[in-house]
Amino acid sequence: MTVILVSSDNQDFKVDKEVAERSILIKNMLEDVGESDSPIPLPNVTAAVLTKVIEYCEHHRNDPIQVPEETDDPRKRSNDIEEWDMKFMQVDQEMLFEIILAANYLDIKPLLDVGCKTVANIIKGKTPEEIRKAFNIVNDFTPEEEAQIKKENEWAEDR
Amino acid sequence: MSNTLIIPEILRAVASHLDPPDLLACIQVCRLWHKILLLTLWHTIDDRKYAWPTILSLYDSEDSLGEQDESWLRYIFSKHGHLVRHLTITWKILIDITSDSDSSCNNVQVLSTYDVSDNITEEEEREERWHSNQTMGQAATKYRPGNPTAQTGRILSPLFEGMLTPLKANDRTPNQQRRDWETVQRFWMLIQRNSSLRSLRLDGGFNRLCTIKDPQFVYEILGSLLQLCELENNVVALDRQRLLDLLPGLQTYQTAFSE
Repeated sequence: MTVILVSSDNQDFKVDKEVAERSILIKNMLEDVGESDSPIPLPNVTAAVLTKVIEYCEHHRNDPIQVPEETDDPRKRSNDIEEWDMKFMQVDQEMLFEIILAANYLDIKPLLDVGCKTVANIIKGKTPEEIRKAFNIVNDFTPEEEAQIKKENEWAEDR
Repeated sequence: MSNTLIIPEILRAVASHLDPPDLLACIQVCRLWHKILLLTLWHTIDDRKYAWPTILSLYDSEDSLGEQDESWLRYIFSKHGHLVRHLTITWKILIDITSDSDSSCNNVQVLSTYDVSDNITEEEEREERWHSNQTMGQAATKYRPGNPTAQTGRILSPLFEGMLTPLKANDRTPNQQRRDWETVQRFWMLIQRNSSLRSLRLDGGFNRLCTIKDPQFVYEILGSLLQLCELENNVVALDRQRLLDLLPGLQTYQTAFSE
């Protein structure tokens, strides 16, 4: 069974139902719509990004569906990204963020995870100034404020 | 900045893969990141990790930097303590700080203690050395067998009246014994103020500070933890059935005491 997904720039993508349903949003939509063949519009995702998302879902079509973890602990355990995913994520920063946004909107948790881990890996080991440079962020702290924050949270330093 | 990193849930999802040192860098990046990620940083406090051992060992010491003295530590816990959800304690002074009336540590969900009798500050160490120099001299002249009298300190709440037995200990100064007596009470007061506790680990090391003569107050305090589902108790023998009657939500109970 195939479904048709339509990107925000009106490009049609024919995809196996099984692959499309890696997106919980699409899965739920298909359940609601029932037997209808109508294409599914995705107004938040451009063709370029949708191409990447579909590529990911096809490669991972046989992965077991992740059950949401019971824990509320924001610290997750594993930080390794498998090789195919690593190569898949070698895109420019703009595309990386677009993929994350799309994965969030489409509710594809494994893809969101990989995207977030990739961004986290960019951040690791960097000073605040290096992080700002990496993501083009303006520093809106005064030097005194920044020093105060650093002092108050000094316990987190790796000593 | 990209629109993506402004979205709190996405920034937090990224931050969930970062350790405190990297989170510390993140909260200095800009106001928005500070606002979104401060609670991620303070979610889990484990005093065995990062700079805690250094900071806590220098507590109240002449050697400590001005910023790392007692009032600074109490200040940061009054400001940020309410963000802590997972707290692991192995230092007595951290009990004192987090249980203090100024501290805002009221939202802890998982509290684990491990042996607190071991970690002493440099100040305490100095006190001990001075004391043992003094008593060594005395022992040589007076030949006093047996233990010195155990010291008690203040009773901090009527709840503890008559419930604790001080521990005679050669290796602790009288001052330390008095402080330890109060630390044990402060520990239970810390538990009492964190009524949303889901998981609690009570270490047997507390019995090296002073022992519980009558566990009545333990039942009272534990009984108020209506969300408690996990309890590991190595501090005093408790009646399992009575616990289960008090806490119908309790799913796991482990204890070192035979029942």
